[in-house]
Amino acid sequence: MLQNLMLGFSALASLKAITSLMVGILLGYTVGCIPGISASIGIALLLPFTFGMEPVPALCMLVAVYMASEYGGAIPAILVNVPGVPGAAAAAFDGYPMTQRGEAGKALTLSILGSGAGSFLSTIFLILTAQVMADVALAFGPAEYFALAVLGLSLIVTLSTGSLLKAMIGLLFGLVLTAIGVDPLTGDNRYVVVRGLLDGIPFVPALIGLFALAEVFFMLEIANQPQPKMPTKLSLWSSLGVLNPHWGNVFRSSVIGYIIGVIPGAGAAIASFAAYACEKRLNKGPIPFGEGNPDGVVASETANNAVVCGALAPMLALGVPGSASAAILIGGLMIHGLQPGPLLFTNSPQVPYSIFASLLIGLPIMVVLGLAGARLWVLVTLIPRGVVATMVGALCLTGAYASDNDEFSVAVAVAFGVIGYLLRKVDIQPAPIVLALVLGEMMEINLRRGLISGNNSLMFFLSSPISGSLLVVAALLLFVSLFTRKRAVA
Amino acid sequence: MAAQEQTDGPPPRQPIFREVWGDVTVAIAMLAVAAAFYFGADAIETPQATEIGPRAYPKACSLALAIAAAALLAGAIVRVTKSELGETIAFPRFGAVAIAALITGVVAVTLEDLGFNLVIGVWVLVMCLLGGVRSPLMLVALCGGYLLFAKVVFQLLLKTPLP
Repeated sequence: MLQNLMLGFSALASLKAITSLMVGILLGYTVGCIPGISASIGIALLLPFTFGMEPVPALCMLVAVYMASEYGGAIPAILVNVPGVPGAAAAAFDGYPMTQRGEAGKALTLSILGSGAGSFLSTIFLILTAQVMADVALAFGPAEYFALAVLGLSLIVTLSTGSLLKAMIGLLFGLVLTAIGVDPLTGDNRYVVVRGLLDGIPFVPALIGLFALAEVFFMLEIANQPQPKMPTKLSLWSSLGVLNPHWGNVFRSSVIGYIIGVIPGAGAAIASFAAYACEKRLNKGPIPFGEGNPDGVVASETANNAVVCGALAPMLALGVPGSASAAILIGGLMIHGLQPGPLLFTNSPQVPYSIFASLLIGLPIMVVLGLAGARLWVLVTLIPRGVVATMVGALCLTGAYASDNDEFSVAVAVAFGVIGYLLRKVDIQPAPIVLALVLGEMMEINLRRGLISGNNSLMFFLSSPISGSLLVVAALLLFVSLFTRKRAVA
Repeated sequence: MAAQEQTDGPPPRQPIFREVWGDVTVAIAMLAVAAAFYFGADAIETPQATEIGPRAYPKACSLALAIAAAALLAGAIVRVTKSELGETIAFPRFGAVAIAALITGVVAVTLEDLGFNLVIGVWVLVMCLLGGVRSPLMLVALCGGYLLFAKVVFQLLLKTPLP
């Protein structure tokens, strides 16, 4: 493991890689600070820029965007009560009251240092667990992979917010779309009505449309509303020791964030709320949670950053993304001809380990940029929404074209943008669709391989203890979720 | 900084639907998608006629999608009969969003024929106007700035040819 980690550090030891890391961090902060532009959108927009890059700098840049956007999302949440990313919503509960009390600088320092500490601890967890997961997965066959995909998809549905049925519809819509293209086992054409669909729905343009272009339309809806007013005076460096009383909180929230990150579909918002609720129960201080308790800011920010590493673990080791952003990162790996999963650790260990190394190297840079650049990030949040929408939209169109150098990709992005916008209007979120697009092929290939091995018997999938257990857990989760939601409605 | 429209006076009229009608629309659309994929699977030319061939998986998925969509439709119909129409789904600035979607669609079919600079330049200009930017200087700066950015980053640095 240490040898591979050194390999990862040496892969990063180039000007290109370090520059990519810095650019990723800066872009991630910018993305996180702008309300409405989430980490997923940032990564999707950046994917086309990585086509011409080498795999290691490209992936380090994408991961840096993911991590830094979670850092940056807390800035507008604390300053104006508008979370930059969904995972920062809980930070606003106590961060904004602290700002109202004149403690904006302390709240921001706590959030940035808490984020840094959470990222560091979760990176250690990631390094310790990803290789183990990959080693275990090396023994997996079609039954286990099929069961893993089913469990992943069922978790995505059960952990989604809103209607279970609508999440299921989004998921199935995504699964149906994965059938388009050349059959992965026989090579027969399926639903290839135009030549551009030979390799299936173009993944990068579809992501750009679902996440970024749809958001452009939403930003246009509110483009004429007044911008929030930011406080102009911030003093962050004066209180670097503020994290000292919160180390217990940092450790607990990191563990919660990492574990929730590993679970597909759970995401940063759930982790930050879970950590927040845990600390709220343990709180014995004079300031109640929700009224400016610093522990609330630390818990939510530590957890939502720990989620990033948690989501990377199953993505790299098993090929199962822990979040929508991780699903898009799979697209980044595929662009460079890399297939996530246990063989990535065997065949190209420099790739996952350079990501681990970039997380460790990027951490102090992110903390320093967060503290030193607070005023700049505040200015970013003041850019008019109409301008942000236009620039993001232009990047979407250019990026979609660049992904395959043809108009068809742009058409796909536009179509998915409109579909994403309309589906979100009826509360069908893009995350289940994207995760189905990623896991659909894995599920189909392994289902069919399993059926061939098992002489067309579905019992084959229950014959292995691992796949049987995973499928039983998936079924239980769906039933429990269905039952509890029905009770909640009643 | 760009001039922004202000929200003075009563809010402008906007299309509003009740949640239940949104559910009905999406359920019908998904039923149509499921039907297209289910029956389209029969047109897949394959020498494999067994259940583990390339037709079975899309058929199974589209059947599941149809069942889920039918459940959504049935639930919506029950709610309509009980007059439980649910929350409202609003489309603020519908005109601006519709124009944006339309011109974005036009980009997809004219980009290669008319060229990147012209098509994206016009697109940025229209989107800025829709987004409330009124200052001529800002409009020129945003259009020119983006085209320059795309030229430098995509064509010069990333060696990605733009039409």
